[in-house]
Amino acid sequence: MNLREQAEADLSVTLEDSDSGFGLPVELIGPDGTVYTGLTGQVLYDSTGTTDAGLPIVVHKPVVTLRRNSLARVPLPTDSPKWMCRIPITPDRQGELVTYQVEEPLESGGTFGFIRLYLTRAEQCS
Amino acid sequence: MTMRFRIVKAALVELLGDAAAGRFTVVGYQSKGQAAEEVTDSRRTVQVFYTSGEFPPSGGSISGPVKHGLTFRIDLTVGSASKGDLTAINDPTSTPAQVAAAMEGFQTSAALADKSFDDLFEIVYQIVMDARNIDIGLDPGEVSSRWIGSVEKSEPFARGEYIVIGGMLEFTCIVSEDLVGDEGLPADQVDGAVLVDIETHTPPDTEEADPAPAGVRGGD
Repeated sequence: MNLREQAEADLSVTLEDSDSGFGLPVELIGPDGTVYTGLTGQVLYDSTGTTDAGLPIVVHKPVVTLRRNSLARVPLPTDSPKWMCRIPITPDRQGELVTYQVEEPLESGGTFGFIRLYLTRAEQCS
Repeated sequence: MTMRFRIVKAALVELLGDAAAGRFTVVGYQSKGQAAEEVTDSRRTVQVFYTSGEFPPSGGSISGPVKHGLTFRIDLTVGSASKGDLTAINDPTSTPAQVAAAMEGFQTSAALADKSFDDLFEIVYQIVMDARNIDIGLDPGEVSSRWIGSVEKSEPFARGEYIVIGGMLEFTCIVSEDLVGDEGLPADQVDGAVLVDIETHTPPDTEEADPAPAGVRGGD
């Protein structure tokens, strides 16, 4: 096993360890309506920025990173309709999962074995 | 005395605020920043603030009045999440076909925010440029040449659980400013009785005291 293969195998710890690591539960909903549960991944938040007009805006940027080899179906940028994703928004592994849409282009860390999804909040239309 | 550019600003804020009808929020200053949640849907904001002025030289430059060409920036900020039938998607009894159909009908945040901005611009433009508002709610003749000369929509704010689009309108008009000088700070006010003693003054070339000493004694 070379280092790259070892790094991919290590994703089971760095991304997916929810018992003693930073992993959190993730659910994916595919374009055909199939719900993929039991996944674990990294969920991170970033925030703030400035619009072109110069107005400071604070906006959270939830990002989910998953191990590709753990996915029964890997999301593709060309999939339609867009995938949806459920993640916790608190550190609680048992906490409620909130639904997001994967509206933005995903990042495929192919040769490193992971995929990164940028999430947009999904709301019930009135 | 308040200069007219501040009166115009206040009138513009009031004009937009009275016409908002829950469709947007009016802010009368440049805010320090906003959270994306603060500008989504009908919470979208309209910020009005004085941004520049021009004073062409004129004969009134000594004692006024002087012409003041005002420029106000009206910043529009909208935000949106993706929207659709989330209930069907989150219902554990929904079949995959039902979930897929609900996902198909989901509107992206980018499309919704773009429409929201265009909608807000149209509302604000029509309010400000309405012929009935030619004086922006002030007395006839106080404001002249009111005009919205340009509108600009920025790129959507990159990434985030909400999409945010900002933009601005440039509103100009001309007013006449009086030159009254600065009033300074108001003097302290003293309540109650005032006792004033005035010393008598004996001229240097006489030794006689003033037979009618001047002085004022306030009443009790």
